Amino acid sequence: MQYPMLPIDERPGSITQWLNGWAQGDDQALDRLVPRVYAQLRQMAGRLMRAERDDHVLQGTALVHEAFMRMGQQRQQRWESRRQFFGWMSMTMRRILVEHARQRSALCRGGGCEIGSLDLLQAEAAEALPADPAAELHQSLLDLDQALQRLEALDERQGRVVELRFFGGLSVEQTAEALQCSVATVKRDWATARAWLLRELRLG
Amino acid sequence: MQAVARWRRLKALLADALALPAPQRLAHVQRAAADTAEARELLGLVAAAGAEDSLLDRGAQGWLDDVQSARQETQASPADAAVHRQVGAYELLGWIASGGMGQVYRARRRAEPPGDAPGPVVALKLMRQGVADEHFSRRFDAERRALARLSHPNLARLLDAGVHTSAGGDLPYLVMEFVDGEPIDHHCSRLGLRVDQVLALFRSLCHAVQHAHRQGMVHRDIKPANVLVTAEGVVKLVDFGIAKQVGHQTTAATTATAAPMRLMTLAFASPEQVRGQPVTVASDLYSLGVLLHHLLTGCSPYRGVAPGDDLALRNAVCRQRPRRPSRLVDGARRGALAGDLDRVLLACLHKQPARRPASAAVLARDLHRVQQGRPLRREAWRRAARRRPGVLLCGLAAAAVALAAGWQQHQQRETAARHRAEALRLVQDDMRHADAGEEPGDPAGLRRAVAALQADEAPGNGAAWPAERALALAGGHTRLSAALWNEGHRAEALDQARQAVAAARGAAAAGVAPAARQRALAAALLALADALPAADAAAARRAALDEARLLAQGQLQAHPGEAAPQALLAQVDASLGRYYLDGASVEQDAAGRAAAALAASVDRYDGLAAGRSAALRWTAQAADARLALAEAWLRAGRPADALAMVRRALEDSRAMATGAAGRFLPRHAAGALAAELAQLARRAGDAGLAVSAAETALAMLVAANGAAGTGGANAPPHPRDRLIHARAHQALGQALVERSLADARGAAAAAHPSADWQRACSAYRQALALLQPLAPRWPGDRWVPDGAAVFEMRLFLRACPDG
Repeated sequence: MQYPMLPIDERPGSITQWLNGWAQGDDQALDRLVPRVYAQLRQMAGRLMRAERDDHVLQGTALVHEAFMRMGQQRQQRWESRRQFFGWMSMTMRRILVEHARQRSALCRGGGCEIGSLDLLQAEAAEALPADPAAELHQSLLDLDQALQRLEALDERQGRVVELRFFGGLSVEQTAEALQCSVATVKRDWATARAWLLRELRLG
Repeated sequence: MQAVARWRRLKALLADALALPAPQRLAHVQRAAADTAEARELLGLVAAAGAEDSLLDRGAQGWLDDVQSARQETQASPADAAVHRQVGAYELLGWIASGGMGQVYRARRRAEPPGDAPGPVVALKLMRQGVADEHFSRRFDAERRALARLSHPNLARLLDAGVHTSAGGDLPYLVMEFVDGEPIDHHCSRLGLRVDQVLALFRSLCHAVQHAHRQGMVHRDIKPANVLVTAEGVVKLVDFGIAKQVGHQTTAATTATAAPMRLMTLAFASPEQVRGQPVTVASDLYSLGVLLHHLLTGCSPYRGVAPGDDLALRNAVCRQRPRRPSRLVDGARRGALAGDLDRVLLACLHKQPARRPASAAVLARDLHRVQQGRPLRREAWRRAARRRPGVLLCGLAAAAVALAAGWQQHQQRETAARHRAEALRLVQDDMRHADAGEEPGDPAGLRRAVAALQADEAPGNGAAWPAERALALAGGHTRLSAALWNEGHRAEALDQARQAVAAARGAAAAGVAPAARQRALAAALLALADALPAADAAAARRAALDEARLLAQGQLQAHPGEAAPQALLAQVDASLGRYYLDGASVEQDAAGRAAAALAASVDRYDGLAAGRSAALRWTAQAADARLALAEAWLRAGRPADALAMVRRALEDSRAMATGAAGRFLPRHAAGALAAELAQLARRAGDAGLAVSAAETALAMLVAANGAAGTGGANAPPHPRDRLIHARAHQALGQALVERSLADARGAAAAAHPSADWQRACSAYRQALALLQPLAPRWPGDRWVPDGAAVFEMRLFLRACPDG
């Protein structure tokens, strides 16, 4: 009898496997996939920052396209400028991370989001289990996304500022460029949005 | 849209304020805001802007990093092995598996002196948690010594144990015989073993279990992963965790989350284990039964349970009748199973421990007879006239601490009859206190008594026993639920309430008179409604309350002159009112209905109090109902009525804050009530009344605790009391802020924060000081600070003169 000595992990070529696995409903595959996709997107963004000419950087990688398509988008993206790319990238990252958090969130185990069960045992079971730190993190991202949606309804540009800065990781200047507005505007929008979100998230 | 325009305005004001240096922001807000509401909102935003928040500021990348590291901490990372290459005198060779409390590695004793052959391969289990306290380490030692006494060819022996000092703390480890084998279910199916072959293997397992039981140890976790078969065909019972993780799961329905309080595989756990009740050797026999069932039929004894559905499984284990094994197979195997083998298996799976086979040896003997085609001795399946030597464990505390290995020691129990009488007396006593309207006390003794009554069904002293017991159980569970709720054990309170309802429903069969059992059922249903979590169980709460109400009305009609049915109905209406108020209810016009129910309740209580000697008791109940009624009226858009109710309730509670009422409304409860009234008054728009109520609350609490309710050495020790104190301070602070905002309209006030403002700051500081050290004592602890409230107070303090 052989007992396994190493984790089943980190072998080359596993990205495709993970994608397949995830498409078939394997949560753990998603856990592996998401940071990778995210890293890829960030790399692309970084290259764009440094590049003088956008076009050849914007080819996109096979991974990003594949992941994006698997996640339900049918269209092939073409970005004509890095400004467009930033917008798309931030939105995509937001979708990916939120979907990831939703799937991993404690409420949505096993395919269905069963919020509110009348079963007494479930109430008891939910209370008896110790909190999973990752579950709290997932929930806080979901809360942030919800709050952000409410902010977007109040002020669309401000919502985009948050999306670009938080999910896209862009600086104030990069955000101003992406939205074609002034740096001062971005700073104001960010500071006020931040205050509003913080209050919503803690007290809402 | 109005909200959009409003935000645009707020945003502009906020941006201007944030552009100023911090000390000037408050003044700016007070000047620029159009009204008090806007000022309050801006203030909150300004303060929020000053807070640090790692999520928002570190961005999504930071969040991802956090998730990665959180996952690494909670999951078993075989990379752990790299950190602990040397553990004691052993050298780790590789990782085998991850168990509930730690990792299991293959290891070998280092060669000493070097040059000598290293020792044989062993299994080393390294605990995750450290030996932080002396109590734990003493128990660990005791377990180790007991384990070392076990010596049987079918048991994996304990070889050594020790403590490993590492950066992560002092971690205990156990060294056990390394069993190179496969799980028994895998073995049987791979080789296609016949029934008699399976039984032969199983019997040697029974002998191993018997050996351990005679040494006073209960395994608690018998499942295929712990029963290995070596290449030579020898069965070995091991501790949990030592089985390879195969691609296809050999162990059915293993719990995915190994919660420390319940270390077991649900599918093989006995009903008493699932319920968290004391574990005995009979629990092992149950698990053996499930294992044998699984080996012979390939299925679980319970139907309709999807894999991974823990909740359905727990329900099934506790309540569902197991399926006959012979029904689950066909052909030759069915013939082999039908009849006696069916009976033996089902006996092991009996819900009541006392009805299972008396010992593993008896089980083995009967299986042998079945194998040989000899008839079973009938008396094996009747309840033994003479009781087995008792094997009660200490219950929850022991379960939490005895983590070192699956084996535990058990203690002898006293004679059944004495226990029974004591338990009954204790519970009945407590029920008399309940009838007199007194608050429940410490649950520990009551819990033991109720558990003793529950475990004990034998017809004892006369024909009245079943009825006495049923009534005592219903009342005892109800009381226990209330007591546990007060202490903050939400999940247990719910469980007790469920059991109360079950006991009350079963009272008819036990011969309890209708009136008594209806009252018991109504009380149990009320306890259940109170214990159900507001968010998830609206329908269940409603159903319980509706039924309770019917029962109470019935009682009232049957006994119109008595106080008890009146009180019951008043209590039900009050609970119904609170149900409507709890936001989760989706009823139409919830506030109106709440008001109606609560008004009826208040009237009834007032009627009870009028001209009765025990008036204080009813006044206390009425005050609580009035608080809820005020809330209902406020929500229904009648603030004036709400305020009137608040004033009356405040008066009553002041009148009761004397020694005499202390039994019915202890001072801490009166103080909590007054603090809630203060909040209501503030929301209803009367800041002055709010301040007065909050000051009353603090005075009551100070009197209750004999010292100023401040932090530090004088702070009350119990989390509940600290919380109540803190809430009173917070209520005072909020009321004062409200009052000062109304006064501060006008430029002059901007320069000097008013006295109210300063008092508010001081109140918040005191509240925070009280809340500072509070953390949940257990998952689901009710008495924990409200994070939002703490945050709000902290934000506010940033705007205070002294920070």
